[in-house]
Amino acid sequence: MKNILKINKINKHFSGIKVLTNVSLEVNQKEIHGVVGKNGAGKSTLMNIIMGIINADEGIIHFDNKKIKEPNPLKMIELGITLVPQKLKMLNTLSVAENLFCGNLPKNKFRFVNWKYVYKKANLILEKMGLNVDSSISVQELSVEQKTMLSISKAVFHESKLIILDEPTAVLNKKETNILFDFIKKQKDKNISFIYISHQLEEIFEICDKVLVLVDGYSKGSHNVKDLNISKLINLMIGKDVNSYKRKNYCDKTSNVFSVNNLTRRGFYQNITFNICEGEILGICGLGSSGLNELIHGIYGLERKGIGDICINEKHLHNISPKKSIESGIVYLTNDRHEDGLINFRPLKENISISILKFISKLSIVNNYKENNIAKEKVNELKIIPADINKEIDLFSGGNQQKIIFGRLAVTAPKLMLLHEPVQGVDVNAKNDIFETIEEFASSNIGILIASTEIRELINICDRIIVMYQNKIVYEVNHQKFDFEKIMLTMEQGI
Amino acid sequence: MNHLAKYFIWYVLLITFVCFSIFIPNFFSFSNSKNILIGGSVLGILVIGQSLCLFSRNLDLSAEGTVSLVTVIAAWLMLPATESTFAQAGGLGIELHPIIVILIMLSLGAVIGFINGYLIAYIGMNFFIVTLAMQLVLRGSGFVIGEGAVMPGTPKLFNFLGGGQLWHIPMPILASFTMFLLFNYFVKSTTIGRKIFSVGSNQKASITVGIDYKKTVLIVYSLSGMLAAFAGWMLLGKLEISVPNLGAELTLNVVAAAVIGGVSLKGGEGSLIGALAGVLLLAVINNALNIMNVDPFWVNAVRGFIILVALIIDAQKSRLFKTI
Amino acid sequence: MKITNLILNNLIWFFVLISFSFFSLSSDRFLHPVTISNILISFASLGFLVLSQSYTFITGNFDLSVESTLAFTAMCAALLMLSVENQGYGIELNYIYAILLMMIIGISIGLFNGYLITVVNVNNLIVTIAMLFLLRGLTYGISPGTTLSFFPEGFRWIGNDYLVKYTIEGYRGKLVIPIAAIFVFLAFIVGYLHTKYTQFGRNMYAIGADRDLARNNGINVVRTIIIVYMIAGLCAAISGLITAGRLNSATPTMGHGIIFTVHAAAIIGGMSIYGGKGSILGAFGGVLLWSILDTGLNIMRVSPFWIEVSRGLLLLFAVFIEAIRNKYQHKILQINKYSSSPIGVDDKNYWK
Repeated sequence: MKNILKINKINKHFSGIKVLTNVSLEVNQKEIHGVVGKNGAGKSTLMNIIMGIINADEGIIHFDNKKIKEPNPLKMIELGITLVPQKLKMLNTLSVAENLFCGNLPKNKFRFVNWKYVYKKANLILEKMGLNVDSSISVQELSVEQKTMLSISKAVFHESKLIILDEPTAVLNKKETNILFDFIKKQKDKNISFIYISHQLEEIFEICDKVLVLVDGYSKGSHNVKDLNISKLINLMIGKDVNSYKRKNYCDKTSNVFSVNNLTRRGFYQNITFNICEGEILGICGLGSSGLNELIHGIYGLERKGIGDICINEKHLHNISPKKSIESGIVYLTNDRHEDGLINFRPLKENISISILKFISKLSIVNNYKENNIAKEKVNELKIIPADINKEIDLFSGGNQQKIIFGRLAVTAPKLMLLHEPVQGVDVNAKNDIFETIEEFASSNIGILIASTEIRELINICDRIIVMYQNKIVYEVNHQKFDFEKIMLTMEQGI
Repeated sequence: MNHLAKYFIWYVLLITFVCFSIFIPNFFSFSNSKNILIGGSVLGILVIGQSLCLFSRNLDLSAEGTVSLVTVIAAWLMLPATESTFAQAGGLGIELHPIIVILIMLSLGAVIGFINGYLIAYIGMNFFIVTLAMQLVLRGSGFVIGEGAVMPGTPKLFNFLGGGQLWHIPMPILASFTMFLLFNYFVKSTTIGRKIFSVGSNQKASITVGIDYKKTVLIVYSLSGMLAAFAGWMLLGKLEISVPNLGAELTLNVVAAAVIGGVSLKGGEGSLIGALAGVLLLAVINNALNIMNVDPFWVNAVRGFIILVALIIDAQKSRLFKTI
Repeated sequence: MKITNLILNNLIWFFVLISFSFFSLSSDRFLHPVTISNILISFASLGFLVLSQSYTFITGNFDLSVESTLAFTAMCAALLMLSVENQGYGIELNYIYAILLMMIIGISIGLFNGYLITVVNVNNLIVTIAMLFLLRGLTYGISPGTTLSFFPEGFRWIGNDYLVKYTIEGYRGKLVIPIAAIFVFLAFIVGYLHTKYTQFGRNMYAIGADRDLARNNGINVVRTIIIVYMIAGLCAAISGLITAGRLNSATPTMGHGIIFTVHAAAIIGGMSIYGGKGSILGAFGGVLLWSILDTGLNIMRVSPFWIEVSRGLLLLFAVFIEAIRNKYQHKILQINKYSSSPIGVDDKNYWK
């Protein structure tokens, strides 16, 4: 089998931190090569280096048996590598055919575009690929997996030899994923290779021939998928346990503060039932396709909750909206603070007080004295550095930003905290601080729900863990019986 | 360094004023300074309204149309009916009491703003097109009611805001400064003020923390409309005559003054005190150009230059001041 | 459903049809040769400006300077053509060269705009607003202070002359088809063919849809945008020629304030300020609609001021419908997606 990509001993560091160490990878023609690893293991960096977006410190790249001296994006695209990013980029106002042919529409001899012919040709090409859509429709009408297939078709049409897919199935359900996989497998016959990045390990076994395991910037080698099973793969992916947090006091209360009963939402989750006691930390883990994200949004009121009951302190909640949730005592820490967590350009103290304006103001006039005091209090409690309540929130480090948002949640005197990936993008030291803080909240009888895919971290802090798989709850376990492998396996492939 | 960044515009204002005082004869005098302030008053009121919109990451292109319409309606309601000539028209003839008319003006401004805000926040229409179209509607309506003619002779009580004096200080100056102080306090210290900034800097985050985004935008535009009406009251009172299309071309000057004063087009940033400095700077420059009897050529060139500089600084601001 | 879609996609023509029918029925003086002539005349003045704005809109850019380019080029030509008695420079340049010069100036202004926006990377709104003022100022600067008039006949041909003066049986007055209207019509057709059927035109749309993606597909974004602005400048200059020719005068205030009307006509014709959408034909419809409204309401003795109001209302209405329709389409896509899902079938309210 001819080799298409060969990278050797790639090393890269960013501001003193080594992100990739001696990583090598070989991809052959007609091969689908998976890449797995935790967030932060180095997957994106490696792909960026292959695409020429950034340059490695050391290491050699060979493509199609030619050494690549100075990779840059345009060059790599020309040579035949295409990246299909997780957030697909399309020309939204144009038709499918125009997206396919962008920059080079089929023209007649007078250099005029013959639209009938354009659509016919596009339809033909897509049909041969295995994508059956009418190329004259607006690309916005395509579903997500169809857009992915279109991106791949475009790459194939431009004679790409290697296509990198970055988490293409994160938002797809089972049916859509299967359609996509059939499509991808078809392309193999055309001598095209794929690099397939994913967190959903089951898929690796479904579609990949080989898989590269990245752990903390190191390569644990490329293995034949046939020689592995999910257990073995999970074991390979276990990395160093740095600064492991240890829970000090587990919850012993039994009074419910929050319960969910048969929550069902069309297309996303069904019969979700669980409860949380006062002072209990419940962890829920689930992949992107499990419906976990939509469940959290539904509980908080950012999206529809569907049918079923939500109770806080035995009181039923109806017509949820973020405002009502906060009033009822439910607060939410988003998983992407840059997108919807930080109120940019505003100072720390305003970011903290934004949810409790009603309580620190009289006749709508904010009491600055109270606001300052509350902010100072939180800065001390949460050890926010630098302790400047007037500093713009954008100027703080990631960990401190997250702490500030915790401060915002805490001042509302909540009964339940929904934490969505609470330590994502946070440096190691701040992580420990935050876990400590979470435990402190728990010990003041607040119920905590942590939604995350970092099972190691969940095990360190939770009283109980629930696993969601394919839109249902499939497993529940108490802290005494926590088993990393079992939980991971269940999250990845169900029972 | 932060102090410099924050009060930069005031230093520019000071330097400009000093330079003009030195190099331009007749510039530096008590009466001229009064003229500067009076000249900037109406602009100032409009800048407050526009700044509120900008804080929430919106723009109100219809403010000058509101000025136009409410001044025409006010004159129409207050003036006696006279024989209309081609250039001059009389009022409706009901000679409504000025205080009632003022209330009507302010309410009308608020209603116009409310409609803008509703279409933008609740229906989801683009703010540029909505306020642009509204501008056409308002300007045209003003022409219709006023028959495109001037209406002179507004009553004294009405003119007080625009032309009267209190403690020897011209009312426009007093009124606009008061409004600036009032609204500055409003945006800095009220809950709604916080919400306005929040919504402008990160809409999604604001919704997540429980802020009613739609209601906030609605309030912002309603205030902008009401302030535009207030500006109209002041302007009409000053001129004592209703002129067709009053307030034309102010929009770009208003936006320029706000942006020079540190109000960012991207929302969530800036202050009204800064905007005040922007207004004063523009007023000083306009006054200087006037005194020097400058060719319209230079007037336009200077205006264009100022707007250009303001917008460039705003675009570069994230780079310029964050690294300090 | 299909019919609704058909109407919504071609809303502007629907408006044109309705307004034309409305006026024909409401006033017996509408279908009169003189009236139709007036429509064509007003349509000629606005046409090229709307064409210029449409070109930049497709790429997702504004060009607010066109109204000043109109005035500036006209003023330059006037000064060079007129004798000293008529306040010109006395060069008495042949009108053909004057026209050529106007076009060159217009294109150069466009080149300058395009360069600043792409190579120097200044925001398009900033550049064209600044040019709006700069050029207006320059026009004032070179103007002698009084209205320049008495242009040579040749110069006025495009703006003022007619193709036909046709008498129709039974009607007083003639049906006049201005040369300018023909030019506008041809220009729009060329523009439509250019933007729909050439690679360059499609590149414009790609750039408007996603500038970076377009670049990654090998499109020369810088070159395309610069050329688009040059075309806009050219159209502005032609508009200046038509206006000066029709009015037989050049003043520093020519075209002042017309930019918002131009935007409105383009937007109601389907142009999006975000770019990548809309067709030149639609913009043509926008100009046509504006002219019909203008003339029709005039005929009905409606105050010219009501015309502005009705235009604003119409624009609001058109965009309102677009907004509602987008919401509706989004809803339908969502419903379709979920109704095929086997999960959570008990949740009957998923369409809310």
